[in-house]
Amino acid sequence: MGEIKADKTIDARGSYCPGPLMELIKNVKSANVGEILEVLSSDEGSTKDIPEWVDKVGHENLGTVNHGDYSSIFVKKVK
Amino acid sequence: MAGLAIILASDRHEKIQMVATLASVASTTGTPVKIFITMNAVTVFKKGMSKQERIRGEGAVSKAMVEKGAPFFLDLFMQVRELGDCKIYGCGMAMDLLGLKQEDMEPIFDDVIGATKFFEVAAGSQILVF
Repeated sequence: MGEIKADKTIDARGSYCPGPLMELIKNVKSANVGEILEVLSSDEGSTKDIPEWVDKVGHENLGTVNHGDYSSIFVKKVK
Repeated sequence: MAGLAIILASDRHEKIQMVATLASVASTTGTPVKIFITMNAVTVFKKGMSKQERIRGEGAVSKAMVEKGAPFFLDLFMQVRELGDCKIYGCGMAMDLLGLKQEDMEPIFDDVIGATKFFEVAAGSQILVF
């Protein structure tokens, strides 16, 4: 996966389910269409739940990068 | 899913946390959620209580959630009312028995209603009981 440049990074490391997802939802609401958000999460469940939520509500899941003890999940707001 | 109606009767930390998590995820993913807080669960949502007084856990997961700082259920309920399609109702019967009014409770309640009214607002939803 090529490098993705995020417009905003949400550092949710150390938070547990559903914290990282709720942080993302809050930020998606205030983001502009077309912006890319990056969620940093050390919670493994959230790295699976966030892409599910993104697909379900119709934003674009740009992928997840595993950094070892945390992951970056990239989401594009499309509507 | 047409909707989710959750009856929260227990004051146990793990159950309340599960309800807050399910409501957060479902209501922000397009599933309307209605929560009816009744029986001993009512006592956890009185205004002015400390976090410790609200957390009545009984197992390893409750302990771990406190130690590791998992999102607190009251914060999740506050947040979900803002971010998702979620309505929270207090049980009139339980609150009458305890002498509690809506203004005595944390500001998460949309209304105080009876079981009959809850069945009306929950019509067509899948009902879960905790």
